[in-house]
Amino acid sequence: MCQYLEIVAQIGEHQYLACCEHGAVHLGWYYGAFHLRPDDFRRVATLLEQSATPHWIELRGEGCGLIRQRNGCFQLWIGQAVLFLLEAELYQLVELVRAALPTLEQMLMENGGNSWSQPRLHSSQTKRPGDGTFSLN
Amino acid sequence: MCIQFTTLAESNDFRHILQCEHGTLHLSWDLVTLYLSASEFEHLLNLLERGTRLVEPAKISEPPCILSYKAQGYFQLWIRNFALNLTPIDFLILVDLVRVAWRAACEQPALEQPSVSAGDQPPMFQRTVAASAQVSFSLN
Repeated sequence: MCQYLEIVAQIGEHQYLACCEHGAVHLGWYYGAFHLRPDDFRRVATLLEQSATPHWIELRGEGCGLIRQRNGCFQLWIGQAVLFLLEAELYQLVELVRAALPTLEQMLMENGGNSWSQPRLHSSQTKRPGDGTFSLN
Repeated sequence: MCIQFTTLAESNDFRHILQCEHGTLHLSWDLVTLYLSASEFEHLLNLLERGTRLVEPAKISEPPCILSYKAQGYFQLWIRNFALNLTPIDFLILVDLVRVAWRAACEQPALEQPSVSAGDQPPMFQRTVAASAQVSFSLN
């Protein structure tokens, strides 16, 4: 989670690829977002590019995978998390990554190649009332 | 875009639950952040509580969440189109995180309706939680 996100490519308000001040790549997809190290993002990008080839059931990359379900939908695995995609959404995601990749690579290069720090808590967070003290009544 | 956050619960730097100025709850778990309205978050809590009582493989749901306890001995939690695979220990950590966050959210002053799930959500954060023998200290 970061204070500054530079949107690199987007389909709509909730489907986007962005780069934050930590050098992490943010893949937002409706009600959630992945936060990826540059190398992890590249692996996902490679995997998605392979999905354009015909006749596959499962594609595997390092730390990620793509499964075609029997019903024609897809599961994109990154680490221990999964994103469920309709067929049309997979194509959208592939196009999104293709569109963003050159710019992202440029930004990551300017940011020091693979330099990256895990986004932590929002620095703009506020303390909630009573934080640190509570009544034992 | 959300710019103002309040920490409701934190397990470590990568696992925490925040609330933004829109009232939406941001559940971060390692590589993923998921966005839930207050009512959805309450459903998640209810589902996780039910999950703690599962002793054999099963699938239970509280829309928009589905929890499966797999025969292989891990939990799979779906929240809409995202899923998390959780070891039993991670599952308990998540349950605790969500419990703490919900208590904290209930102590928050009333906020605006969440922006992510527009609709007929109930008024947020206006309910009170009665103190009970189940709770180690008064939430009032």
